[in-house]
Amino acid sequence: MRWWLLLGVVLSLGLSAQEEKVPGGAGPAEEAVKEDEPTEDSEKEEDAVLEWPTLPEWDPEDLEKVKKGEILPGQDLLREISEDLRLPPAPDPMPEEALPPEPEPGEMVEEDPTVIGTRYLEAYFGRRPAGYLMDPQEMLSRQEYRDREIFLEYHAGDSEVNLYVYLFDAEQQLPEGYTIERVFSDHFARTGPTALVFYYLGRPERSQMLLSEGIRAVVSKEEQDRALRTSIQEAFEKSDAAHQLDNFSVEMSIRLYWFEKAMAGPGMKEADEADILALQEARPPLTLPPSENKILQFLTKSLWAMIILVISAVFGWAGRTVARRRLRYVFPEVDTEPLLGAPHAAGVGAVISFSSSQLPPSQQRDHVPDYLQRM
Amino acid sequence: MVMKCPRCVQRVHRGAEQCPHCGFGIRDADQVFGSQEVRLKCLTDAAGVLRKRERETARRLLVEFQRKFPQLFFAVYFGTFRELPSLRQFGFWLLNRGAFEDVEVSRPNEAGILLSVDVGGKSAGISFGYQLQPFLSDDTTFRALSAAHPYFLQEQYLRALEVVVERLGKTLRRQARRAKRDPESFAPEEVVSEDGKGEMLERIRANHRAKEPKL
Repeated sequence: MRWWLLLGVVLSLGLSAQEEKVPGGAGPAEEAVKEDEPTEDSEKEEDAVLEWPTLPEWDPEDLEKVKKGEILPGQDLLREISEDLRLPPAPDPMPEEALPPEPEPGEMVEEDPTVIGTRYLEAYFGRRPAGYLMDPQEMLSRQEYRDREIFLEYHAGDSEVNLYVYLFDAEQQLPEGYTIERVFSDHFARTGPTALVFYYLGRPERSQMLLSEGIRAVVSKEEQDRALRTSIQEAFEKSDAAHQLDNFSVEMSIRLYWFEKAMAGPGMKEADEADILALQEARPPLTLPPSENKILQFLTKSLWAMIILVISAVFGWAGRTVARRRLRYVFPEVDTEPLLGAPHAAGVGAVISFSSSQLPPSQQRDHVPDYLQRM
Repeated sequence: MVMKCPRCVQRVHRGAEQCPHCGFGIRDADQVFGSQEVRLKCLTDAAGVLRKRERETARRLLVEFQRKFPQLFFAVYFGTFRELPSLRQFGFWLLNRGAFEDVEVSRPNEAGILLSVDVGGKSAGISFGYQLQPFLSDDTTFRALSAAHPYFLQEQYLRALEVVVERLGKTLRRQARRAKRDPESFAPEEVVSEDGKGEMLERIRANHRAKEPKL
């Protein structure tokens, strides 16, 4: 019995496994039903077919001619190129006279890096510059030039002292007879407060600066030199030549601002030559504004007073010390009679013991009669 | 100007040959220390407590004192006494019997100040001559010694000497100025001894009187 039961179980498990291998577990009839139902893919294919253009169709006449051999399909594409469709003829090469003659290697002209080209002299020295940055040699790129020109314009709008910068190449020398003083006197003498700078691109240490008379009347030469020196130092903070010019211009602008503060006073805004001369006569050159000068004078006076006081005190102390050292103290003669038979002295002062560091001197004072002490 | 006996520290009236309280006199001191004159210098370091450089400094100090006070001199004696009965009596005796070689004749012992230091017994005392009796006192000398007490404790004897000289010099300068302004205030006053009424007896009797109510 048991064998039969075991065989029945095995057979039933085998049948159920075969049924699970069939996908969906459905029969062929069910699959047929599913194929008849429209799916998403089939719909898309149908749409694509509908969107395609229809194929060309032969005209009945042409179709007859093709059949008769009168028309050969593709005949137009296989015919020879007609004259109209040919490319235009290439232009003739340029005549040799129009090209500049190529210089021979031995005749190559090298420009002297220390000389400013003559074609630039008129732009540099012939007329007053239209802007604040003069670079006729175009050593700066257009963008670099524009950025620096904008900064100088901004400075001119914000400050009473205009800053003009002439750019030269690193090693260039000014032509004979041309100096910054001459350029200033030719083009900037009649303007307001102005600072003219000759800046050598890549060599900031060669920079020159000249201030208008009104500024020089107020600002000391040391301050002017310090302004140029610090601007050069700021320029050296950068390695790129254009950035050096940036730093130089910014620092110089700051220094000119302080110059402007120093020269702040009546009439300076519309300063002309006459005003400048009058100002020079009225006010000596100072490095500080009047308010600071008063404070400085007060401090100087106070310092001198202190010094005099200290010296007086020292001398007084020294004199008093010397006087006291020279002073002699004399006592009046006192008539005294001998006491206790002593010929010279009977004055008995205090006696103290210093045997104990714990007790104060008053408790170690010896003022007890020594009757019983052994003599 | 109150004089006191070197032995009993009681008041002694002027002209007394002996202390009316204890009978002490110079002869008693002579019996102990000797009646012969003792030759010494202003700076006597019998105990050997000062270095050579300190001795030079001490000498300059004493010379400076003499320069400032043309009538006076200052002497110091560092010694070690085995059986010293009283430093006070020793100072009294030395200033009377001492002959200070390096002091001008114009400065007698009456114008001298003596600082006696018993290095072994660890005590110090000051004696002075008749000329200084109106200007110095037990209290002023005690203040000078008190100021030098820390240096005595540390056995810095030179520094202690400097302090004593400086303090006494200050007192003497003040007294000299006062004497110049008002000489009468330093005139010798008459001190009359009342037999049987010394300070000590007064204290004893005061104690007796204080105890009477309890009886």
